[in-house]
Amino acid sequence: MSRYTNARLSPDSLKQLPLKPVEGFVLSRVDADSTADDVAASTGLDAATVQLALDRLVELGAVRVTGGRSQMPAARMSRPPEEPLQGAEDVRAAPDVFTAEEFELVHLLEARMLLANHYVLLGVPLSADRRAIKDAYYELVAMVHPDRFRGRNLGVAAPRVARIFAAVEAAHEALASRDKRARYDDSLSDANEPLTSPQVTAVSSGQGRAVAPLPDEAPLSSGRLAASTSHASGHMLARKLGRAPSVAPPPISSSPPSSTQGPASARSEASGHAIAELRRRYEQLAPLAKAEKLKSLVSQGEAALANGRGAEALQAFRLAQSLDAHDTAVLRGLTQAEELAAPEIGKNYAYFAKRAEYAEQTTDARAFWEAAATRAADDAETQGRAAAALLRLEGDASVALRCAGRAVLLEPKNAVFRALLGRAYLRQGMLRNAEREALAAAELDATCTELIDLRRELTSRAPLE
Amino acid sequence: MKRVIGIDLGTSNSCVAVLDGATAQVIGNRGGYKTTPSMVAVTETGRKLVGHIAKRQAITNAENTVYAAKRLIGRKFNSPQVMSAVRHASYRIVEGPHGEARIALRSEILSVPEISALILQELKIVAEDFLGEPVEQAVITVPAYFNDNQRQATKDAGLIAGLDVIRIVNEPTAAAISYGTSQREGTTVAVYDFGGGTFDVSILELGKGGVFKVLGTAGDTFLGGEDVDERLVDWLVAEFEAEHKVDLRSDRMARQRLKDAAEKAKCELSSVSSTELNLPFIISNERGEALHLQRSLSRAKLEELTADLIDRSIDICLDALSDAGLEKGDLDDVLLVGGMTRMPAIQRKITEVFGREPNRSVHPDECVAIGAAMHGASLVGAEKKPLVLLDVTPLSLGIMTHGGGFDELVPANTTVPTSRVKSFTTSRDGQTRMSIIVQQVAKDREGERELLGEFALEGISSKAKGAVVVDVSFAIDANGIVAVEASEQASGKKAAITVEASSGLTKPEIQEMQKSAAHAMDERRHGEAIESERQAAQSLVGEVERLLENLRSSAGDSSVLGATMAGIEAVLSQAKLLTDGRDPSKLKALLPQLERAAQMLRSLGN
Repeated sequence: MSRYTNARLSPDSLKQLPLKPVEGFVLSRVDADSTADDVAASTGLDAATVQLALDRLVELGAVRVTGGRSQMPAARMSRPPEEPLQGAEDVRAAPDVFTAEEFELVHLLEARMLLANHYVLLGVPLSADRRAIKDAYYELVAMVHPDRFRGRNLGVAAPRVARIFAAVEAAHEALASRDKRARYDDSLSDANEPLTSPQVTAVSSGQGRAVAPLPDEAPLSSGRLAASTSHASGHMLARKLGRAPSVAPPPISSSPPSSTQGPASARSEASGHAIAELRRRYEQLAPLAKAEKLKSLVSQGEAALANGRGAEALQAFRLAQSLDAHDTAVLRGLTQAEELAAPEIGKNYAYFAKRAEYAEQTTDARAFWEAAATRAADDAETQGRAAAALLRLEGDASVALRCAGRAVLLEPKNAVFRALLGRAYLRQGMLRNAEREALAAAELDATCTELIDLRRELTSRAPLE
Repeated sequence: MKRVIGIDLGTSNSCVAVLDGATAQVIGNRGGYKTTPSMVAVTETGRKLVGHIAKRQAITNAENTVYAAKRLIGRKFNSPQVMSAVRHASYRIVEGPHGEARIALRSEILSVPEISALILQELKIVAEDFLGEPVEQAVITVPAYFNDNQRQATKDAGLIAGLDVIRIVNEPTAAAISYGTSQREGTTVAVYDFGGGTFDVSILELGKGGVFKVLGTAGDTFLGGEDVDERLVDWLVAEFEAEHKVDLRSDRMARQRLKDAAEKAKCELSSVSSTELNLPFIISNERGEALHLQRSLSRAKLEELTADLIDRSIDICLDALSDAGLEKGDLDDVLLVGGMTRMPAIQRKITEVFGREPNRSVHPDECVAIGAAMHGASLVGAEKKPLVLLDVTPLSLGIMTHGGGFDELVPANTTVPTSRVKSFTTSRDGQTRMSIIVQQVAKDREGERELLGEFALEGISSKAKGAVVVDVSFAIDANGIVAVEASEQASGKKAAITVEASSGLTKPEIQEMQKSAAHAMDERRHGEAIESERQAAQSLVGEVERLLENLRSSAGDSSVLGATMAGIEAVLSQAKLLTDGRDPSKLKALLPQLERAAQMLRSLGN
């Protein structure tokens, strides 16, 4: 599919173009490396109209065609590419905006931000000391400070950088002092949302098993990660959304609305009685405003659900949840949105996990693979890949076992999954189970490379028995 | 790549630096001084004088010489600080059209940014002369405790001076840059900046990757060397009055002389333990007798007179430290910046309070400009190892709510750039207009809120009270300059709103001032070009006359040379007329003729 990049003509030369309103609208939504589908989604127009408009914009030079093989839509996180794992070089789109390194960095950090955990964002383990947190923070903040992009036209990417910067600041701020950090850690462990998938429960109970912790332990134990994700992001979003509304200064006079009276007279008039009255009124008004916001979020989320836009619905319902955690419509929507968005988000995580592996960011890669497996619970391939990756990266063996088990459950006739399951058993010290899986795999496909690995591991393990 | 200059626009002295190769260096002005007095004067003929030349004539032209204009920048005329300046200043401070302080100089009334622009322009010329190329971009420093109006006004001054101010940086932060690049990572330092007019303290941490993070800042924009001078003047006046029953303050010229002498004595007492103040014929009494002021002043007396000022600065220091969540022992260094820190009492006090000798490795007058130049170079990518500054906003920002309450959106010591959003509702049925009054509050001074600006969101949906939600968003950029926006949530409609500066200049005003400043600069440059031609012509005339004389005495009035000599003499007399006259532009045409004549005479002479 062709990709389109906005040529970013100057406003003056743009005005010279004979554009119809619809073409202007389409142009406004063309980013770097957008597909026609992206544009259709963001304009709400039908595909044919969008394609016609794009063709005309290309003809007029307002939009450039930037090849069909580019894998990464530059501006969107919620939309994973169909085949995300073709190779690292394809990932580097839109070099006119970000350098390849910055591009990598921005996407890595955005992926970390999705996990909504300050430790993950800074890339440090939970056990990191003050010094390590500081160093990680300084390193990141130097790379994403708006000054680093000064004088460059980042276009729509500018707010993304600003968001990352703000998130890094917030992460450091939350972990800056002992008190604050303790409070944050509490909020992480207190987050016990209902765990929807049985796998997650299995992981939680699998925690603290006899698997020796590796020297560079993953920043998050998987149980915590799964549980904390939506809580912490809800927390974050709530902060972004702002606190409950309060009463703002209206024109203070009884005359018609257009009157303007200075603040000085207002202040002098304000007696203690008036303040008490205001407080009372505020207490009446705040719930009203909150209810209004809640209603609009719910309808927004429901519309997104109806259109099959899971990620968008999820965002709206999470915001709504931060306003009212017990509203039934919100909870229902949230469950539906989570279901709808899970595969999408899972794929995103798989994609970022792979990227993290390329970048040799093992800690990130493990966390992302675990997240991917949790989300894409019904996707055998993701489960299998996560299992293989966790074995390869020496991640949490119980999670690897869970993933491989899930993959086999979904596709019992797959030799690769059987062999992976065998390896995962072996890693957990369950030799008998491993041998059984090896036999099953051999029956299905004796030449499978995973099986060969499993057999090698079995033979090297045997003398220990 | 165009170079960026760093300017320390100080209360008493200003300084300009530029990155030269790997290190930044301060550029000396035409007089050879590294710093230029922040003084502007207008002479009887209406000519504007800036810097040393303005300072030299300050005594005889006290009423038309502006000093310490920085204390007035971005302030309202009726603010207590300006009112106190009105009492003490020798020049006239008046109220401007936006309620801001302006300065009356002879027939003109100038805005404070215009005064500052003259100083900036002078420094720009200094830099251009040094670099041999035009300078367009600058980083200008301000006290960390400057508020939005003061920052905005400083930026305006840069604009008027024809500079693109790419960043406003806090002075202590800039000082820390010039100190910090050679320090190890993880150093925590307190910058104690006691300048001419302001006192600032910032606590910084030097992090990995060239990051300078301000952990906390505090200050007083009305505590500085000027106040120390003022104390000395007060003392001298009181002593004089006791002796002669004459109030020296009644005479502007006497006041200016006293101020100069006090400043000089203060500086001397940093290196000697006692000094003499000698001001003969300072005033005459009612019988017309001339009176003289003669006093000796010891360092101990100076310290006694100013002890409370120093104590105040130390208190502010400790406040900043506790705001940053640190203890004295967490500091690796205390950096001294600003001319006042040469005072032994200050160094002693800091050693006493912090239990360590202060660091004096940076030049107290120059390090701010140097740091600004380094940051400027980093911003435009001229520095290989980029610096990243994480500064903080010194004051809490918020809006006034119904009934005069204050709703804080951005607390003090928040890292910038930052943005905050908060929702508000209408408080009356059918309300269609909401006025947003933006205010700032200094720490621990809830009662003294200052108005930053106000605007109204018009045409909001007419609904029951509380049914309309308006989002108010604050954005503070890396300059510490605030932008406020309000939009109605439900309709998504963003009314066109701009914050009207409460005490600044409007855009057209700035443009007008910019034009006239550029014009004045052209005139000045033009005048200088003509002056240099006039000088070239004069020296040629001198040479030709000398050679002609030599030739006459050696060869006599020979008939062969007679015609030539007559021709040369004609050129000479014409040149003399022009160099003495008021129209030197014709000189340009004459210069080649003079040159030819000189050449001919030289060859004949040999």
